[in-house]
Amino acid sequence: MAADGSAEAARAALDAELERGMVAAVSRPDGTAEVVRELPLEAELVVLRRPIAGG
Amino acid sequence: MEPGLAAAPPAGGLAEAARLGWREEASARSVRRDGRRWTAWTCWIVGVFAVPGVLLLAIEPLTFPAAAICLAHAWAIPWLQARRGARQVVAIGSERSAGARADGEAERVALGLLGDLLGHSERELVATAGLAMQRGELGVWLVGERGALLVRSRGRRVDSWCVRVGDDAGLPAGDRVAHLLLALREDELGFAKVANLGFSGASWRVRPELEPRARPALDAARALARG
Repeated sequence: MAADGSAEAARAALDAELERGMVAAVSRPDGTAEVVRELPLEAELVVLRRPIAGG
Repeated sequence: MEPGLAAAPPAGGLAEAARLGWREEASARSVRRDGRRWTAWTCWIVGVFAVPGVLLLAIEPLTFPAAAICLAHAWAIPWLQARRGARQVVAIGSERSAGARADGEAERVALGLLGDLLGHSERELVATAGLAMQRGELGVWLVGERGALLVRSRGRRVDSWCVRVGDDAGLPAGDRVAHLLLALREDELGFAKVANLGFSGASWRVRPELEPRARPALDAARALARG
């Protein structure tokens, strides 16, 4: 139950960041990254980044 | 995580690129074509000013002052373009770095997080040269706080891209690089679509215009591009 609660809290935190316009990505072993819209519970690390723009 | 051959486009691509529907999709072909356009333009500028200068001298040596002005333009305009291209990229720790005016503790934390995204040699390069190196399908990228250099054609050509974090207010220097690096890893072609190409030319033209501490990063990228 505690684990489920932690997962829900993590999902809510991620959703809040995505609502703010952040982009979530999971790094792959080959050095690329994959954008995610939902929290992948199996991922070791989900990185949030801000959107980029041309200069 | 070990940085490998990065930025194979994910299924969705870069969201920022998808919003730029009016802009041409970037590809290895479009990058090569734009590079050739830059070379043609540079040759044209040199010719337009150098040929009249030489002709003036041949016809009448006393027109030397006017010929000198023509030849100076033929040299200065390509030089200014290369300089602008080099200065589009802001290295961590440079005079224009956000870290120069930010909270030291936040900078240290940001650099630590950036280091976690990099392999050992790339981490050392960030510490010494202030640019993050990332190998991609188009070539070898050097990512700064603002702007990125793409070293390609076996290290002979450098493209300078103007790109930044959309809302970078208050963001430490290390975080700025990390955000751009993550976007590049998500979708290299999307990254090139969002960024604006500000210069493309021979790497020997760009290197002297880089800040001295950033030059080893270009050397390392050229060596990697040569394979």
